[in-house]
Amino acid sequence: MPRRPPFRDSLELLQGTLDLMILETLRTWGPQHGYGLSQTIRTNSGERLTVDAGSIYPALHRLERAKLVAGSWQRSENNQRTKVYDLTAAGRRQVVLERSRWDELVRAMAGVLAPRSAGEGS
Amino acid sequence: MSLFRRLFGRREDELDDELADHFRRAVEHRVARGESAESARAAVRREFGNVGRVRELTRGSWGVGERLRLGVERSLRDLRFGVRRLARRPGFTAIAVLSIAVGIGANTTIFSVIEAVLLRRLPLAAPADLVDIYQQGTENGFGTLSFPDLRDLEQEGGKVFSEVGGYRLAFVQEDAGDGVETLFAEVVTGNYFTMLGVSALQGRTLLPSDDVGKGGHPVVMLSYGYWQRRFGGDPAAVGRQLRLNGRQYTIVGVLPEAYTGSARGLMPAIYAPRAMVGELQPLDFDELESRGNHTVFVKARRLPGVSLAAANGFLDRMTGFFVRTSPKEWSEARLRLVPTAEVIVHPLVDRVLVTAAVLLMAVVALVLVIACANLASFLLAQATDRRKEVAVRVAIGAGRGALVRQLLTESIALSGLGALVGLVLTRLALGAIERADLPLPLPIALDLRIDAAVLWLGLGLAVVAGVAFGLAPALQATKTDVASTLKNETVGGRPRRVSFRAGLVVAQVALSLVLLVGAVLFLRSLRSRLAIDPGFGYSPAAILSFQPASSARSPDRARSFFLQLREQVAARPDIEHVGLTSDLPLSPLNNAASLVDVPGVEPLPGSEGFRIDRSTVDEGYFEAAGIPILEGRSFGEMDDEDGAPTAIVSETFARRFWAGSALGRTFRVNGVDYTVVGVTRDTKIATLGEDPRPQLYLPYLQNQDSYLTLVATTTRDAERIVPELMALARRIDPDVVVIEAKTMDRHLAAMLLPHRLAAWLIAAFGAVALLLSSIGLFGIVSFAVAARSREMAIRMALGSAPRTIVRLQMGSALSLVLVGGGVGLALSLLAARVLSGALYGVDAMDPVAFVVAPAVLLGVAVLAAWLPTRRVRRLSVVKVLRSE
Repeated sequence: MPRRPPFRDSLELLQGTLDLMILETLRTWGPQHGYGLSQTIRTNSGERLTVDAGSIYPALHRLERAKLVAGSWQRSENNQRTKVYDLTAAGRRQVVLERSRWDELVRAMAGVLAPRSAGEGS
Repeated sequence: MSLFRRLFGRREDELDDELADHFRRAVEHRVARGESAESARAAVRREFGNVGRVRELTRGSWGVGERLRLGVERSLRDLRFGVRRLARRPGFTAIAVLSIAVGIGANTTIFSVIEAVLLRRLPLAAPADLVDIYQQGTENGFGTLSFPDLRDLEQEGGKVFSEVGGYRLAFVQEDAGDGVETLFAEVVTGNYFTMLGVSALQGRTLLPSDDVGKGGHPVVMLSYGYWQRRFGGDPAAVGRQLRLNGRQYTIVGVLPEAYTGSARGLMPAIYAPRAMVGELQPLDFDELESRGNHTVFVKARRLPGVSLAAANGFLDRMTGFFVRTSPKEWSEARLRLVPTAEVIVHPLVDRVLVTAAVLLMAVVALVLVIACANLASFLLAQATDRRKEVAVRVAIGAGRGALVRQLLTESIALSGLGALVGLVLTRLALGAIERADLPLPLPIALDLRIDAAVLWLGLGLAVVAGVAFGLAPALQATKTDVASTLKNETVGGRPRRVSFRAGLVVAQVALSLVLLVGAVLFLRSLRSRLAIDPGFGYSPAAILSFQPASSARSPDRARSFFLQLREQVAARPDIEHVGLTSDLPLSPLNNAASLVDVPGVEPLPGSEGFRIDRSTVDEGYFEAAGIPILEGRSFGEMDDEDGAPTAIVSETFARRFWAGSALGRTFRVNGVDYTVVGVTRDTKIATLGEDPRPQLYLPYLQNQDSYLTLVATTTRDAERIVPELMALARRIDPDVVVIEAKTMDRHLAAMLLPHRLAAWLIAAFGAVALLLSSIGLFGIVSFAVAARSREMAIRMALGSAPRTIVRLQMGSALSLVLVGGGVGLALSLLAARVLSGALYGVDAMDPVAFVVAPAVLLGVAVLAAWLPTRRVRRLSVVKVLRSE
C-alpha cells in the first residue's frame, strides 16, 4: 500500500528523502524527540546533513498526520515535557517499502550516472 | 478562554512547547560541550532561524480542517487581543467607535431611505414589457390622460399591447362607525392587477367583471398595510364590508405586502374598480365620459415580440386620432411612452429624487471618508507608539504578515463595533423620520427598515473602512528596524510618517470645508426662500378641503353644503374671516387654468388664447387669505347666477393685457364675456421661486365647484381649530369627504420642505464633518505634543518660553489647516458650480459662504490645535528628561 505514487517533482523527492531518513532513524535507533532526530541524522551523515527545525518539525507533523509515526509527551530526566516520536505499525511497513524504493532509485541513478561519468572520464 | 483553548489552542501550544524543548536541548547540548550559555543561545538562535517561520511551516503540514480551525482560532485570538487593547484605552476606543458609527450610520440611514424610495422594486411579472403612457403637453412633459382617452387606447391597442389599464388617485371617506377616516385610494381598471401580474394574498384581485356598469360593483381590495392596521391581518376580512363615501363596499381580496401601490411613497389603503369612480371621487360631471379631465395614469403591457419602437408607432397613430377627434385637448400634445421599469414615482419627480439621492450619498460618503481618515491618523500615531511592542514581537519571531493581520483585526474590530453602533443610530434615525410630522403635500408613507441590503452595506462599509484606515498604520507599524528600535529610544515620528498623517489632516480639512461651504450656501438659499412673500396666508388659519359626498352631489346640494358650512364657521367667535376657494395657491395638486381671450391682444401663434391660472372664490376669500384688493371691489352677493359674469384679476394679469386701469375691461372664456370688477395683489401660484404669473378669480356663485377649500383665520391656535371645523362639517353632511385638513403654516411650510430638509441635512453633515476633522486635528497635535515632549523639555531647559513652544506646535498644525483649506476652497468652488442650479437667491460664488465657512473652520481648527498644547505648560522638564 504505497502512500503515494512515484515521485512527481524534486520537492517531493526531497521530502520523501527526509521522511525516509526520519523513518529509518526511528526504526534503527528507537523512539526519539525532534532534536534527537536531527542530531542523529547529522551524526550518522558524518556531519554532512543538517536538518534544521524548519524541516524536521513539518516532516514529523506530516508523518504523524499520515499515521506513520506517533508522538507522545513524556517527562524527561529533569522533569521537562518532551514530545517523543515512534514508528507506528503502518510506519514500519512503510519504511520497508520506502527503503526498497530508495534502493531501487539509487540503483537506477547509478545506472544512469555511471556510464556517462565513465565515458567522460575516459 | 480555557474552554476555547482546550478546543482549539492545544495543538498550537504543543507545537510551541515542542519548539521550546528543542531550543532548550540544543542550548544544553552546546553548553555541555563547553560553550558559554550566552554564545550557545546565540548560536542556536542562528541555527533555528525564524521561530515564526518554523511554526508556520509546521502548521502548513497539518490537515486542511486543522488549518481552517487554526485560521478561525487565530482570528479569534487576534480579535481577543485587539479587543483587550481597545478596552485598555476606553477614551480612544469610544471616540473611534463613535466616529465610525456616525460615518457608517449616516451611510446606512441615507441608503435605507434611498432604498425605500428609489431602489425597492414592485413585484411585477415581466416588468420589462410594461410601459407607462403619458400625455406630453406644452407645460407638462408627462401628463395624465382622461378616462375616454384610456378607453380608446384599450379598444385600439390590441395589436401591440396584451393589456392596457390605468389608475387614478382618490381620497375616500371611510366610516368605521366610531369615526370617519380619509383613506388614500387607487381607482383602477378591472384588468390592472392581471396586467401587472400581481396576485392576491387573500381572496382575489379585482377583475374586469368588477369594472362594468357605472356604480354597479361596490368591491375593493385592501393593501397589506391597511389590512394589518384595520383588521389585524385577519383572513376573514375578505367578504366583510367597508362603508366608503356613504356606501357599503365588499372586500374581495388583500394585496401582498411587497405591492405598495403604483407610485412609490403613496401607499393606498384600498383599490377599487374604475366603474366606481363616480362614487368614490364625486364630481359635477361624469368623469368616465369627460375628455378634458386628465386624471388617469395609464400603463400597458407589450405583446411578446412588440418592440418599443412599434409601441411608439402605435401611440403616434393614436395621437393623430386624438388630434382629429378632440383637438381642444390634443392639438399641442402627443402620447409618450416610458418603460415602467424606468419610472419610480413619476418621471418629473424621479429626476429630483435621483439628484437628491446622489447628492446625499456623496455627502455621507465624504463624512465616512473623514471619519476613516481620523481613525487612520490615530492608528498611525499609535503605530509609532507601538513600534517598540512590534519590535519586541518581531524579535521573538512574529512574522510581519501575522502582525499586519493582528493590527488589521484590531482596526476591523473597531469599525465593526462602529458599524454596530451605526446601525443602532440608523434604527433611531429611521424611527425619527417615520415619526417626524412633516408638512407633506400628500400622505407619503415609506417602508423604512433595515433590511438585508442595508445590513450588507453596513458590514461591507465596516470591512472596507477597517482595512482602509487600518492598513496603512499596520504596514507602517510593522516596517520596523528591530535593532535600532530596541536599541535607540527614538522619540517622535519619522518625517515620512508625519507627512502621511499630515496628508490625512489636509484631506479632512479640505472635505470638511466643501461640506461647510455647501451647508452655508444651502442655508442662505433657504433663507432667501423663506424671505419670499407668498402673497397670501399671513394670519393663522385652518384650511379644509372638502368634497361633498355622492349623496350631496347635485350642484344645488353641494352649494347648500358649502354655504351652510361657511355660515356656521363664520358664526364661531374664534373665527375672524372665512373664505372658499377652488384652488388654494401653492397646492401641487391643483392646477386649474382657463383659456382666456382678451380683445385686442393677439394670442401666441397656434393657440386660441392665453392659459391663465384660475380659481373660483367666494366673497370672503380675499380677506381670509390675506390677499389685498388693490383696485375695485371683491365679489359680493350681486355676483350670482342672475348677475352679469364678473371677474377679479391679479395685478400682473392687468399689467400684462391692459395699459391703465383694468376695471371695467372685458375678456372671454369659453364664449362667456367677463367684466373685471377688481384687481388684487399677486400671489405665488405654483412655486415660491416663480416670477409673477397672471391669475384670474371667478365668483363662486356664478361658477359652481363641488371641490372647495375653506380658509378660516382664527384668533386661537389654528391646529386646535382644524378638528373642530372638521367635526362641524360632518354634522352638516356626515359623508362629506375631507380631502385635506391642515393649518396655513403647514400649507406654506410644505413648499419649503425639500429646501429646508436639504439645507439642514447638509448643515448637519457639515457639522459632523467639522467635528470629526477637529477631533482628528486635536489627535495629531496631542500626539505631537506627547511624542516631542523630550524635545520640548530640552528647549525649555535651554530657556525657551512655553509660549514659543505652543506657537511652534500650533503653527505646524495650522499650516496643515491652511493647506487643507486652500484645497477645500478650490474643491468648493467646483462643487458650488455644480450645485448652482439648486440654489435660490444666492450666487454659487457667494462671498458670504466663502468667508463664513472657512472662518468657522479656522476657528474650530485653532481651538482643536490649541487644546492639546495646554499640556506643554504643565510639562515638567526634569520629569520628562529623567524618564528617557
